[in-house]
Amino acid sequence: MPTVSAVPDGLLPSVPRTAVDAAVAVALITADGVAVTSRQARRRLAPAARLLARPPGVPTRLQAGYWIDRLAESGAAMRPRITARVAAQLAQELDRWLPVVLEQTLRRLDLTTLVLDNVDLDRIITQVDLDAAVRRVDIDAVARRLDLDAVAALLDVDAVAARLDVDGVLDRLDLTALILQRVDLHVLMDAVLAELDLAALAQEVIDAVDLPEIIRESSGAMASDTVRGARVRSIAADDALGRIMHHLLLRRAAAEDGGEQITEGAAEVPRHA
Amino acid sequence: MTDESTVERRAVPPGTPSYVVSHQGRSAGLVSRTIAAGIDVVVVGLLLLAGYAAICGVTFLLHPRSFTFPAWSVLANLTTAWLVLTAYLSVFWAVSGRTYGSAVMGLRVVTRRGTNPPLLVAVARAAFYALFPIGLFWCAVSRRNRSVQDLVTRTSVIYDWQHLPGAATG
Repeated sequence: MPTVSAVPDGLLPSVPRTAVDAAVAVALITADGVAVTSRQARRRLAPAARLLARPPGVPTRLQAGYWIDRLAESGAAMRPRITARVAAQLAQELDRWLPVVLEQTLRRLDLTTLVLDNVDLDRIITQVDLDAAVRRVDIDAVARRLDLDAVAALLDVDAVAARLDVDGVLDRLDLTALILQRVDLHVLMDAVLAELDLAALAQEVIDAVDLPEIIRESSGAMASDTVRGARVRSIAADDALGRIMHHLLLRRAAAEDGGEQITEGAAEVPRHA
Repeated sequence: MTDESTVERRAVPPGTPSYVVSHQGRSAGLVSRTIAAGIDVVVVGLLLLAGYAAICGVTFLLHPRSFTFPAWSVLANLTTAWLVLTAYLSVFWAVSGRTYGSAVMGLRVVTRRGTNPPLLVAVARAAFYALFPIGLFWCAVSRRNRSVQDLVTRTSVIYDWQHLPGAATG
């Protein structure tokens, strides 16, 4: 006895299930019996049927079998046309009824649960060419829709800055040219000078440099040179005057040993004269 | 006679020209002595002016209402000048043998022994110079470059570059 799945309660809500099961069993038993009987009958009656369809001695055109074959041939010839017509008609009916049936069916089903329970999504995804899919994505449009401010707010700028090679960046910059081009040096100098206490700075420099001592030394050096020059010239003038007076008074020249020293000395006549 | 063994020898300062080194210790000529005397006169003049200013200041402080610049006779002024000059010259000659002018020009007044003149000699010489300054010009004629005052007081003026003013000393 074939097993039969229980009928869903929704289909026959008013019929007890036991009765339905019993009716199904009777129908199946009957159909089973008919099938067996038909097979047996066909097996036993086949020779008699052949004799009746083509009785020996009867002209072919008068045999039933001949006309049955002719009919079969005609039917076979018409079958494709009829099949196409039936198929078209069936297609029309399907076009008409299938959406309704499907709609009603889908309304009663949870497709998401069905797919999740019965479909291997990983296998499907592995078959998908994601690169081609990404290539078709308009990244610019996606970027335009991004809220960059919100993204930046999430960014740890300190961590990013810590990874930055500042020295490398600076090496690629010409800071001198940048400053000359972009910095108003006059404004900068004015600001610096405004902050400086020049008087205090000058005093500090003077104290560090000991300017009075430098002035004293330079004055002293200048005075020293001046005095030295005056002395030398006066000595030369003394010698010149001595020569003149010597010639005028016809005195003897100074001694060859270079003249006399101290209180006994006379004005020396320079040897170069 | 000159006792050269007792003569003070002083080394010339570094950097002294060799031409000058040869004159060290020799009697100085008229030009050098005249310049030195001129410097001394200027110094004395400044001292007199300073003294006059001091007197004016004191007078003003004592009698501010009736203050007028003091005016003395020519004789009094000359006498004052002579006294100041004498004092200035005698003190410096007795102490170091040099006045300021002599120090600038590298000269020194010495006795025959080569030492600084005693106080009395310095005073006499200074008073004679202040009274008869033209006696200086006799050194141009003198064979030993001596002035009238030198002859009287038996002194002499020599080149003595002990140091240069303002330069580091040895």
